[in-house]
Amino acid sequence: MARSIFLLALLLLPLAGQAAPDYWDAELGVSLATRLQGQERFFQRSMQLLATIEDSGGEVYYKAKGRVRYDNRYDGSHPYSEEAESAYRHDADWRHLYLGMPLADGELTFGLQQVVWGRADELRVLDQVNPVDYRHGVTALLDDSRIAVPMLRYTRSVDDWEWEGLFITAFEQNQPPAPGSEFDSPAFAVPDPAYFHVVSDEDYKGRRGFSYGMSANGRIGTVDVSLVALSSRPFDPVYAVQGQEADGRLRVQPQFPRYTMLGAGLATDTGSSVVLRSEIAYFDNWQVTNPTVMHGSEQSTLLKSLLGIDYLYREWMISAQWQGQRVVGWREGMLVPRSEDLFTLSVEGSHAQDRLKSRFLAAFYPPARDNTWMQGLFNYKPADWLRLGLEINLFFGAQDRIFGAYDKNDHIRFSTAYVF
Amino acid sequence: MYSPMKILCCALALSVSTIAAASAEPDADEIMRQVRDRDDGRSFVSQVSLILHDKRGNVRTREFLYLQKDYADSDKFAIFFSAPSDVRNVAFLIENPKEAQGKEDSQWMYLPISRQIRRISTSDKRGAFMGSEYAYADLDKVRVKDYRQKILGEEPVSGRPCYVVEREPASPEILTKTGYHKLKVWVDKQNYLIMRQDFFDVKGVLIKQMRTQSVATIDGIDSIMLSETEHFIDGTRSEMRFNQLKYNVELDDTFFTQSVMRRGLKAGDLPANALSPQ
Repeated sequence: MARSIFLLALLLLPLAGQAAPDYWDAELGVSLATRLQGQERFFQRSMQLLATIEDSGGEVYYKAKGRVRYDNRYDGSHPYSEEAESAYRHDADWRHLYLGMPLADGELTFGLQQVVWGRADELRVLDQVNPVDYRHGVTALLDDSRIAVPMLRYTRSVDDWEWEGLFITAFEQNQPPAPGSEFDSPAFAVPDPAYFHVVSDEDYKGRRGFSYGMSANGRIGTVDVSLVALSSRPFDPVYAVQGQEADGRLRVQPQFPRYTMLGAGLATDTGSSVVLRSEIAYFDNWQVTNPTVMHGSEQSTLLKSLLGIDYLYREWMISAQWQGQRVVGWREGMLVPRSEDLFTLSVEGSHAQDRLKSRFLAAFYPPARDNTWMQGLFNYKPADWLRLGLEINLFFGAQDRIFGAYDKNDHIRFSTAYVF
Repeated sequence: MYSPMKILCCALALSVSTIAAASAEPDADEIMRQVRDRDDGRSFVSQVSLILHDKRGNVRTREFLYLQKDYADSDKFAIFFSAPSDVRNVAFLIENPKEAQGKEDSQWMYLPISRQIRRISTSDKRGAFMGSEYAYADLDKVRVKDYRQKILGEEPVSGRPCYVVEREPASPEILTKTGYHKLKVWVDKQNYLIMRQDFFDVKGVLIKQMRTQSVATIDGIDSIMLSETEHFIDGTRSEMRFNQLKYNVELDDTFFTQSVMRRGLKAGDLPANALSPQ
């Protein structure tokens, strides 16, 4: 709550005329979400303030974008857990907050930043720099759910190549939905307390770890090429067995063992309105939870790959993608599948002089009947100061699958925002 | 009475003089080459307002900065949107090889909502540029050989004598790229600026018209300051107003890189003399 008020006060400074930055904008919105099944249908009645401030002095500049949210559904009586109430009633975060300055023919930025590697459409193969906030489930756009992390970042162009080095000073993990919330699902399950006692060791260094990485983006002929390298820690924990409790349960500790990722991405315009994209990422020393082995986890190699086709037809962009994940050296008992394929098809366009933007998405893990998500997003701006939104999410499948788990949580969200 | 021999001599003399006069006039290809190669400086910077008028008369304005720089084998363009907030930080980078290279152009787009730079296919430029009546194809530099063209005659536009050139796509690929089955272009005879352009569909119906509304001489170069495009089918109209324009500005190569597309331009990035009110 205090954090929300503090951030709100900072964001409102320009509105109050206390400062005159180079640029600021703000958006005050309300949204209402309702489930299509069940009794307690409304699960969101929220207000959101999103504000951006940018200023510069000489060659130094700063950029700040913050968000404050309040959800009235979690005030008073509601069917959700206490954890859900504290996670969703008040919330504030920085989408980014950093200083930038020129340095040695390049640029240095430091502060809370989001860095996106790769060209995947809402999928994460090379995009491994920032963790993701899944508290509102899996339907939010990545830009709304990526968590900004503190980092030093240096970028510099050399001939036709752009080089980037980054050093992330603190570790943040993915944020799962609160247990007992609308968005809770088996895909985010923690070890069953009937069999496991999860202990959190404050001295565990992995929680305070740093990460570092670099990327190079350039062109070879008519092909866009990206090369990335990252030494980091996984955003989701693996559970290391520490021993056995007196009651027979296994004592496990969430850990985030360091890994190294090397990746590459290509994109080329093949003509005939088609752009072909591909990405591959190799994760060395990737740790996977396996409760059947002595320490509860095993080291492996993970390969992630992506193939995407973008077809441009007038105002419509049609993208089809395949993302594959393979655990090399997979063994019985590992809590991740040996291989996993995800297919997405999205159609995005704008109409009525850009007033209406729409996006349709279908995503599924085979077999599609067990694990499919379909989404329609519509944003209409009758005037520059007013935005109306409609979001429809439909899920199909089995309860133990990531999309299928929300099979009874099909929902519609209405939103409107005043743009200052 | 005139003798037949006298009439024949007169007719011959008239024909010879007509041919001589005609050969002094450029042909259609030459006119379009002059349009393509006209002096537009080594580089330019312009602050542009894109004003969209819907059929009910509502108006919305989008602001962007337009940079161009000539390289040995190509021209590079960068576009940075600054207002309103929903398009702010959208950026385009276009690399347009010289026509003699025989290569297609390359185009990238940065969308702040995805924080990614995506390559955009250049085979279909029929889409509306940021919701306006200008298609992406309309913003391309003129290519002579993409069209078969002929001179239809001469006609003044806004009091300035113009050649009228009819252009038809030279290949199915060009037709797919632009969607225009025929163009009629009015080219200023003096400075080779396009003063008006009519766009026709497959049935020969005039669907769209681009009109140059204002021309000024900036840094010694005749320049379009206000262009307007009207879509007759949709009943909508867009204006492109070049509020500030400066030629031969020393533009750093980094303005045409993906790093700057991501970061956006900030106050003080451009040389101090780059933007001044016209």
